[in-house]
Amino acid sequence: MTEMTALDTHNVLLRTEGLTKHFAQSEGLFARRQQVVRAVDDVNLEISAGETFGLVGESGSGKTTLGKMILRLIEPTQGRVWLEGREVTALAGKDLQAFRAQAQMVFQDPYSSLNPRMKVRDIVGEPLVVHRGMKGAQLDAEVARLLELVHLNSAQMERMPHEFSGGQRQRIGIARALALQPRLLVLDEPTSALDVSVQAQVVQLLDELRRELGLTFIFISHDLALVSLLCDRIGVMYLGRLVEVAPAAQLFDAPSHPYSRALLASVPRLEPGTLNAPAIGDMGTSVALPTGCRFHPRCQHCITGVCDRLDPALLALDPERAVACHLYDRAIQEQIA
Amino acid sequence: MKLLGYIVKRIAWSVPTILGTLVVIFFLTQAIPGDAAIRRVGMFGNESTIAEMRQAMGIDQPVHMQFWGYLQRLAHGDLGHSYKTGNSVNDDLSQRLPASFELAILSMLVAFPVGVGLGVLAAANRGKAWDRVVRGFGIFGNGVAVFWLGLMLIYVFYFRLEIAPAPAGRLGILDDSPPRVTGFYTIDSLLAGDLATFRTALAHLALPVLCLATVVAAPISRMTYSAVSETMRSNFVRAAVAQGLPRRTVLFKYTLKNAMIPIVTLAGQSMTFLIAGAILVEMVFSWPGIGRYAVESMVIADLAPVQAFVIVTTILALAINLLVDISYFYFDPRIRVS
Repeated sequence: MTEMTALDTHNVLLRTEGLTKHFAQSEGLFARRQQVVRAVDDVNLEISAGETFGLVGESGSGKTTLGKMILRLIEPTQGRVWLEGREVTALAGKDLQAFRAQAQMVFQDPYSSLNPRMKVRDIVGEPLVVHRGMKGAQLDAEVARLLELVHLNSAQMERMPHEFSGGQRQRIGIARALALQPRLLVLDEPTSALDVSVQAQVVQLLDELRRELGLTFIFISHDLALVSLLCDRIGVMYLGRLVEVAPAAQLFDAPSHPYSRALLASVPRLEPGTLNAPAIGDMGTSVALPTGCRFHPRCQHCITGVCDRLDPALLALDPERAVACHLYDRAIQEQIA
Repeated sequence: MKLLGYIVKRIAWSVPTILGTLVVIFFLTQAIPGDAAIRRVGMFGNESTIAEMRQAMGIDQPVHMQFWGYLQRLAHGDLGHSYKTGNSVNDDLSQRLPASFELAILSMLVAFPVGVGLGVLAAANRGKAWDRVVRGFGIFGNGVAVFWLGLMLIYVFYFRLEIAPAPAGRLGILDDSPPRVTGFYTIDSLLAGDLATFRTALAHLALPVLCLATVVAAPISRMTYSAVSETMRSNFVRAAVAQGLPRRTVLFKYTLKNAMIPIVTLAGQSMTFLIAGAILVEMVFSWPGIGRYAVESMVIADLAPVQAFVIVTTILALAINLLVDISYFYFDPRIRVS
């Protein structure tokens, strides 16, 4: 888990190209004028098989939208997604339903993500009935196996979701996501709705499952400590853009993007004498985006005339790291000098 | 048997409700000004006839004795006499209740699937053409005056297009009613193998059913739309989509079933309205139902039918509410457990 996984281009499981989502927001009584919310803008990403990729950012940065687009739970406005070389964004109808088996999601809120009217057996078993045509004793046996996989008592399958605690519900959600033996699991802040003591158990379970089942994780979170512990590589999002991608250890030791630095500095530390970085104001919204670099109004290193005009692209710093910042763009730095 | 115990408890609880209704309706009708005996005998009856009538009607007794006698008669299933029709109220109701039931049940059988279907259709196609059509229907059905709609239907389908029969009740004036089994003309005519009467009965039902179904389906469609839209946004429905379940399964098994409770609650209220509150439609279509019976008795202070109407509709409303609550057991298994 702690060893770094360099991006192995021969083993790419997931690739996105220019993935973009704009939401139209109607304004006024007669909805004549429409504002565009740029939730996710032009995200290019490659994730290797077996990797745990963390997506971090403030709320509203578009990380959940990105995760849902990858699974086609939200239709992208633009861009494409490939999973194991197949273009997910081109699928429709039966093919799309079949694809759902390969990539699953664990939702943030374990209270609202389980159908309150169904028994655990049906919640976990439904995908098996639909995709694998299982029924009867075979179905029961498979559901029991899945429940035991997430350390739940298989005798509990006759119960309803409301009879379980938050942590147990999240385990049910994980068992459901694993039912179809997916390659990729998108975990949308799977522990943020849980008690701290339960969080650790769930995180441990996830890590264990990833190793045993050879899963690939996209782990969406704003809990930086958790992400640093669990992930191989991390992508930092800001107002819909991926601003930095780096191996976890490197990102935490030496963050490149000024936003990554601010974000990491905001984590409270217990060492005496260390002060948290001063607050740098609000992120703003994805409706009224700043011109140029989206971060420039909050950036301490903003170069007037450049950062407020030019939108930086995500450029490779070295084979493992990429950052979208003019400070690292040689051409621009040379021009200024 | 949790459900059985629940039903018994609910029925036991409805006894005080019914008793309360009896007290209110009895004393309210007592408070109506004028002398019932004089109304009965006529303005020009002499003193002794009126006194005799008073005695015969039992209204010479003190009020609490009258109430006691009233309760005793009710306990024997005797709802009193209508002096307007000259029949016992029991006989009158046994004619009119099936007429009301047939109209109400048929209207609900049309309104419920149409209302729910339109609501789901609109929610599944948010912002598209169907959404707008259903919204338009909802506004129309919620806003339209039911008697006006009835008159318009008569004008168009009977008067102009001449495809509907005259609004003269359950059958044509010259038609014989089928031999009574259930009191529902459609069912009785089929049981008698009389297809001609079946068709006539159905034709006479068509316009009032269309009228009532429109008014009832509209709020049901709105309720379905909002309940289904809300459920669609919930995470467990997203999870169902993520698992690649077929659209139909997601829409009906996951979404509609979870959205059903407010919809059946509204449908239950509408059913009470259809049986007891369809007076205006009964008037427009000369339908011999209990609503018209109550109104016609009310205007001439024929009190026994009015009291009977209130009692019968109270019991019906309680029964419908009980049925709605029992349906919760089906739609929400959590109620079963807790």
